Amino acid sequence: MDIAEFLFPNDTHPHWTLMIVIYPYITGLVAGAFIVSSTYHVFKVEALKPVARFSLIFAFAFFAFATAPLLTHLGHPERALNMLFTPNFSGPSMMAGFGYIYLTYGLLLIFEILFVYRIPMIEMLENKNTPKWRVLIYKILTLGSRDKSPDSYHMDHKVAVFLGGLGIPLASMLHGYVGFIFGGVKAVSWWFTPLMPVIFLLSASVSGIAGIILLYVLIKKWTKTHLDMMTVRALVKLLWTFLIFDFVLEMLEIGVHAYGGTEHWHHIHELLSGPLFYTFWIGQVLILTAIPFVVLGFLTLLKFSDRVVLTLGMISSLMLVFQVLFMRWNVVVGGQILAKSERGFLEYHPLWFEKEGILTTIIILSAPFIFLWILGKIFPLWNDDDNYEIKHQNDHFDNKIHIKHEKNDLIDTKSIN
Amino acid sequence: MRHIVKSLLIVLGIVATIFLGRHFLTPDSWGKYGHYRADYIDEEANRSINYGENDSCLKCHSEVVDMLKHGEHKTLSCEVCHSPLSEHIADGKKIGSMKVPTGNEIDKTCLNCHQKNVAGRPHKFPMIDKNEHYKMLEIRADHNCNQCHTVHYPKENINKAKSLSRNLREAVDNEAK
Repeated sequence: MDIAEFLFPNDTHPHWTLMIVIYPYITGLVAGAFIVSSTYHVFKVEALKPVARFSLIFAFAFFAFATAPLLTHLGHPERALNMLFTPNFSGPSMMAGFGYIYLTYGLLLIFEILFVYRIPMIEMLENKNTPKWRVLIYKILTLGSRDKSPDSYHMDHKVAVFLGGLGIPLASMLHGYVGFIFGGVKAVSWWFTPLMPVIFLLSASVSGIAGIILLYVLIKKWTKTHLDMMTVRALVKLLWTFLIFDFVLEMLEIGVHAYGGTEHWHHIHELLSGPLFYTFWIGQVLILTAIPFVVLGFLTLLKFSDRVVLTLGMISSLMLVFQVLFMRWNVVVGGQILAKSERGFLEYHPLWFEKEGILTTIIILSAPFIFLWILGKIFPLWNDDDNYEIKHQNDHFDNKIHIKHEKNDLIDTKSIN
Repeated sequence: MRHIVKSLLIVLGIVATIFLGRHFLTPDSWGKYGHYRADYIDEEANRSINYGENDSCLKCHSEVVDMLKHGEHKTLSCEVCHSPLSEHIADGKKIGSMKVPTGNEIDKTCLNCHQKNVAGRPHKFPMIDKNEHYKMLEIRADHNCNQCHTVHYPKENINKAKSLSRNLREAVDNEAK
């Protein structure tokens, strides 16, 4: 069917701007980074240990700004509370659901960080070289605790593992729910598919892991500190794994639309071959997915030197970080420019200086990096206190042996008596 | 292990704060009739009226409203291009001047509806690209729309000019015969 460019008079421009493009993008980075952290904390993948703490702080830095685009878009940020206080469960209170999951996940993330960092914070608190402002912060964040005993260390560890374990379904829900927000919109045929939450979740993991690789390598190169190639290789493998599922499902979604061939297909077909041709097929699929897909595949399956893995891994990660941004654009803007008449397309050209324009987007996307830098001043991003961990594990081990000896002694004395 | 107990207490505190916040910040009349604030109905009903519609203008400006009724803009409300009545009249007395677009404001006002790239207009609606339009008619770029189109009766002068030139042509033709 020909597209006649017929638009309804009340359907002339998209209402969800660049802000709603970067909202799932930032939330995705949070979920992806948390998955990296939990892969070490819960599943004990030792190779990821060097980035386990960093990815937690990374997740928190982005978490803090996940709702910034939403609140900017809302115009009256305080009205977000109305939705949370008086949700309409019998009707479409989709965003209230997001609010609850976001708050719960936020609490979990904050406490996970506090438990992982409690003993290092006490150590820094007791160190005389620590500046006063940080001492004050540590006093608050350690909740007045000075307990560094091996028992408390192991208890913290258990709590962190528990929170990490609970965090995996919550992080998945957080981002799956973002996909659900789009996938549940019946009126937009480009979004209305049960695959949407899954695709969002997988692309979130891709962007999170790629973001961690990029920042890990960049920060380590910048500060000229030790870069663990085992970690980079493990992250590259993890990235490829998630990319496989992400890419396959994204293509399957198009396949389902095309083969299903509902009355909406002609419109989606025109969308993909018209307004979205360059951003979807050329940008997202051909350049930003196919190339990293092949490169990461080779890096995972064949043996290459550290230099090659580092260079190609970095380039692929950079491309994938943009791939996910392109995906968010194609979903959010693509779905909205489908005219409700199904006979044409709306137009959306973000401006540099409008309220929700390109400049605002750049500011909101840079904010988490600045916040990460500030957090890095408070929470050491890298496991520099490993010695402490090993020392305490040994202490604990010694204690157990000691207790055993005591018991044996007791038995011995008893038997003697 | 006291820090674990403290952490749990903090979480409980946060949850309690949320419920307290919900208790205090939810409007009293919420949910009286349905999923909305019942007071809102009265508040909306008691809002002062801003717009008076064309009949209010007719009382003093009958000549302009009469002109409007005969032209293409007959369905337009005066207050679309001028200000709301409430800025001009209160309790039957004039309290301020009505906004009258002049110069380039005129063009902006016209193009609010007639700009060519405004999407979703009916098929026969006259949509104008100002540059193209002026070029085609060989008009200087610094001219404004109202120099040809009477704003209250857009085709008045155009139609007069057309009939004038037709009459002239006929007269010349008759003369030639």
